[in-house]
Amino acid sequence: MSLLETLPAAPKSEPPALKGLRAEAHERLASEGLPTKKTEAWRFTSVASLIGADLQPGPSTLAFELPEGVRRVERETLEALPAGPFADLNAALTDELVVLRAEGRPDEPLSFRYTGADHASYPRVRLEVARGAELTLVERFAGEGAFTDAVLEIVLEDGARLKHVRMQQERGQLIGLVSVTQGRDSHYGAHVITLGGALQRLDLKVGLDAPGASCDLRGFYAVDGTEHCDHHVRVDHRAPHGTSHQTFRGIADGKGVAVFDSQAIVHRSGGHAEAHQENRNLLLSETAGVHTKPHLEIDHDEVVASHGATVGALDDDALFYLRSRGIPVDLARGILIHAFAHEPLADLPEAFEDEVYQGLLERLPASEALGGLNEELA
Amino acid sequence: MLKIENLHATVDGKEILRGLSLELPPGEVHAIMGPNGSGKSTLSYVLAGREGYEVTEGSVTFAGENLLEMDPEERAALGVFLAFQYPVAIPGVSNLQFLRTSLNSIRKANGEDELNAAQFMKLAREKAKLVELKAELMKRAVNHGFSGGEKKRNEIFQMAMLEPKLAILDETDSGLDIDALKIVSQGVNALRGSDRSMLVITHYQRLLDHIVPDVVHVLMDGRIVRTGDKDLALRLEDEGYEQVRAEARA
Repeated sequence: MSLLETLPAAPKSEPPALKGLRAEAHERLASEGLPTKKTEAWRFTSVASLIGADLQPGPSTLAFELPEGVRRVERETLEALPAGPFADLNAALTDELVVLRAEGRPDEPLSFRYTGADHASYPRVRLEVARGAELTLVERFAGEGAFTDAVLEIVLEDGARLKHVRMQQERGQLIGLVSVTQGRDSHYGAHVITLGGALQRLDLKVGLDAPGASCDLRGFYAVDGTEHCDHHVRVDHRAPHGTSHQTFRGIADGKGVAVFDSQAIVHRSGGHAEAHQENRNLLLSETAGVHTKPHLEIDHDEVVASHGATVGALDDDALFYLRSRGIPVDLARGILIHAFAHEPLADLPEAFEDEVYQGLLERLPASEALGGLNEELA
Repeated sequence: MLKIENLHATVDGKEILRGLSLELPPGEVHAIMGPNGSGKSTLSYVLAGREGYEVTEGSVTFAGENLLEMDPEERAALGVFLAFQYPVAIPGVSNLQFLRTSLNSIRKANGEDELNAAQFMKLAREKAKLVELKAELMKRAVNHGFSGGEKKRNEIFQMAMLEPKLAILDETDSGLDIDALKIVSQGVNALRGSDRSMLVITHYQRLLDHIVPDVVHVLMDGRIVRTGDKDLALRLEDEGYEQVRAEARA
């Protein structure tokens, strides 16, 4: 039994809103199949053993809490998402479509929790943030699931603002797609924190589809042991006066592998754009691996853009400086890694700072002594 | 007491220190002067325990311990402090958090109680006055966006906080204007004491007008070629290193 063999012979009929998508998904999966090492977007992330495993689909492991101001709605039909093999698999196999609509300014964050299970889980959510609404969404992936294939579609209407915190601490196998469509002058701010996991892959796709839309995508990832994480980010500037920032940093230790691939595309229709990409990596062992590839495609003259990627070891000068002041080597390393994570985690909604830093600290050398670094000195 | 005997050290396979010997008794301030490339910075790094500096011969003892066998942090706990020629900027780490971690690491290594936030801040405010370090700089990231003078003041501030038994000042005067030089020197002078030895490494005599040494050594080609009192520094300034080199050969 393989993943593809778990597809039903004929597209499922429930839920009906997915009907159109399902037919297309089935067709694509039948003709193109799931990715192999030869698939460009999956070159450094092997899913061969995942695809070959006997993973029966089961109920979605998503649990959510709706704050006041967010309600569940029904949709009769849905437009197609950016296609991807696992998004197609999700469309074909999900048993429930959750459509949520946020209005006004909910005080409390919208919270999703994915627990993972022995079976394959295909959670699927569409979140609509209404015109002028402001919302915080927090997603937590924690558990040791056999396989979670999660699709989240976000629609920001004109002037809407969403802060999205996604904590990926799944220890099993997680493949996710977050696809964002932005209306006029809307803002999308994301903090993706990926810590460990046998396999955690995220495709984050943002469409600046109306004038004046902006996004600020930040991420921090850490792998150790034989962990593997992969972030594929793509921003499409399709309308004028769009602004995009990508700031991702990560550390790879042990035999861990981190992949970062980012595209910022300024289309002919997307003039007066500003697009920035930065990816920095710390390689903490000789057996760890980092593959980074930020690229810009610009089809318009009036663009301010920058991009850069680095992979390096901890700064010897800084390490010696700390040690010369009596700080033990493990603690010194922890301090430097902690500092390295600081920038991508800047502007994190305050309510989640402690939780995120706690998760991070647990993975650093001398974590106990490091805890005191967050204490206020005045 | 610091005792260096016949010290030989290589960097990237090249021998830089070639039989350096020196004794520095407690409470004394010794200056080491030398031209570029004579081995001044190598000596300071070897004493502080930087990786990549290989000692091939000789010994260094301090407070009865073989310094060369210790990690940099162990040396710091023993009371060794290096004021860096080029202090390192560490974005994302606040100066105060760094210094508290440093001070408490040293206290812990010596079996002393760690300072809590209030105790630490009281001490920090007191010591910052020595070098006129602004409160705002204490809170910023370590040396990040500091001017040359601010970095050097921060080094002396750290020294005041850690109260070392052996302070090595590596070209602390480089890049300082005369006002900054005075402030830094005042800070250093305030820290002179009978249980603290200082090794002041410099290229120029100017610093020694402000930090007056008990003894002056001239370092050339990796060894001490002359030792004298503070007047030796003045002579060097007048006659240049070449004269001393010629005399040393004679």
